[in-house]
Amino acid sequence: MGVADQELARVVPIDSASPSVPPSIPPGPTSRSAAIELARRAAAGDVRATRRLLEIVAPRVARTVRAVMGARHSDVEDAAQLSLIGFVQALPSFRGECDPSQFAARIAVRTAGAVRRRSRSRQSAVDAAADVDAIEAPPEEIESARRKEFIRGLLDGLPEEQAEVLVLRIMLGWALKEIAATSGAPLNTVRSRLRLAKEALRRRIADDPKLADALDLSEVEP
Amino acid sequence: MDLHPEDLIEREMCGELSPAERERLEVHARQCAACRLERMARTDFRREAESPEAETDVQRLLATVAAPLAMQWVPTRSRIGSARMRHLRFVLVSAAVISVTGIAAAARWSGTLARIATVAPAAPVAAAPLVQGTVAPRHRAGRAVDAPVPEVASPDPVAPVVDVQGSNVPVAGVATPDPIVPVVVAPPVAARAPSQAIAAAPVARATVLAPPSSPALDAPPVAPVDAAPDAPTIFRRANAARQMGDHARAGELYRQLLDGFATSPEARASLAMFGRMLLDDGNASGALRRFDDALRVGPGALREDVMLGRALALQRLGRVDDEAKAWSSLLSAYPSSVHSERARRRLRELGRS
Repeated sequence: MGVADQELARVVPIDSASPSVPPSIPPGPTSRSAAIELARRAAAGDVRATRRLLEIVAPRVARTVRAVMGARHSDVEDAAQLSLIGFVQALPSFRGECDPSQFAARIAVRTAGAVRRRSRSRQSAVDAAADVDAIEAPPEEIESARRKEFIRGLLDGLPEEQAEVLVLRIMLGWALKEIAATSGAPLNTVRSRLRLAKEALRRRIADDPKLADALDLSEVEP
Repeated sequence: MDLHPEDLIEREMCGELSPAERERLEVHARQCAACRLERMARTDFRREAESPEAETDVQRLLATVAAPLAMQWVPTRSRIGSARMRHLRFVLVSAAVISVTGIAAAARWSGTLARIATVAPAAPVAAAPLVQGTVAPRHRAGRAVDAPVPEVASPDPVAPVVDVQGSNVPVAGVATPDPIVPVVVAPPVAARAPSQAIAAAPVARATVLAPPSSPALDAPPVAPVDAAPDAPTIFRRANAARQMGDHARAGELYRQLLDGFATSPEARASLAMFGRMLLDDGNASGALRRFDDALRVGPGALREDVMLGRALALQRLGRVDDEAKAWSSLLSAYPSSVHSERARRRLRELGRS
């Protein structure tokens, strides 16, 4: 038990005899190897390991879904739930080559993207920019919301692999090596996908000078 | 060596940028709108992820998804009511059932889950959760051991929500073939029509059993019985009130749950939500009491968020030493938590890094 845990145990004694989590599955197995072992046990049908694994991956899944869809999207909760379902279903195919949270995040990226696209096709009349403009907030928050919605809008028109790299890179802040390791793609392939995605980003900015001005993105001469 | 701007951004993300490289990146960003947007947007998304709303989302998600694995039921959201969401809930539980059939079945019959059954009494029909699937022993090829098996042969008429193609990453709604078909025992009397239960069959082929004591699957639903609410019902109502912004009502219901069903799984789960609600409402001392209670009763599904809430409550109370210890505890227990950066930043601010 580390110093911090000792402190916690002193301040807030935890009943180790609690029936909800068996002693074999400690409450905080957060090292990658421990999480991978949990995933292996969950894939084999261990209900407690599955539950514990969901606790570990849920924060990252929730963050991913919010990033891809926008926190105000009406289907955020549905997408997050579906992402966790997809994660549980996909566990037998998980090879343990990355952290299970990263594996879950990739599933969440694609699930949330699909839900968002489907939702947009149902509500084609909804103008995301108008939604952003409806926010009552300080100007910097409105600009932030515009930028995020701009990136989300871009995702809808990108090939799936490029969209995924863009999400992992910009929305989730992953390093290129992390993306390569999690996706199983070579690093140069990931670089190429990111380059193509950013070219699409440049085109979108160039095609909409008004929006570029609103986002303070007009090109500056060297 | 002159690095490509993309590499400079990469080094910036990893905190490895030298002053000279930073200068080069700034010069490039002034000319490149895409890189400028990328850097600003990354900050935007990071801030969004660290917002209190995001923390609440995680708590709600865990309560919705993780808890059913242990409790075998799914809380109702206030706006859930459509056939699609009923279907979603059924799929949710079914997915859990599909993944955990073997162990859960063993636990069910060895009495582990009996604790749950005794905690959540089944008598008040109206108070029964919408999904009450329990897990029966394994069956192969849809053959039940202890009861006739009316199979649900047709797939779900409701299309899966996700239809991504050409992907090597599975997405929700796409079933993983399982040679061992899980068997979901029909609830004694569900709050929805049994025919709906069949129509909303999960993505994988499931066999629905009617236990000897339950009515036939094609029988009409039994009229709700007016009875005192049980723990799951109070929990659902409290969460619904909280989500609707009626915090006074939610607090009243959480207290009712904690007073009347103190040992129930719902009461344990409610401590984290109640604490978070109090914290959001500015009642830091009340929130701290609930978070302490939550940690005291045992390491539950929401422990990480409880530890975060506890640190935030201590911060608002100005108890610097205790707050620093709370952040350290969170980092120690969950070093890869999405809240870890926030914890480290706060510890630096407190001079405890």
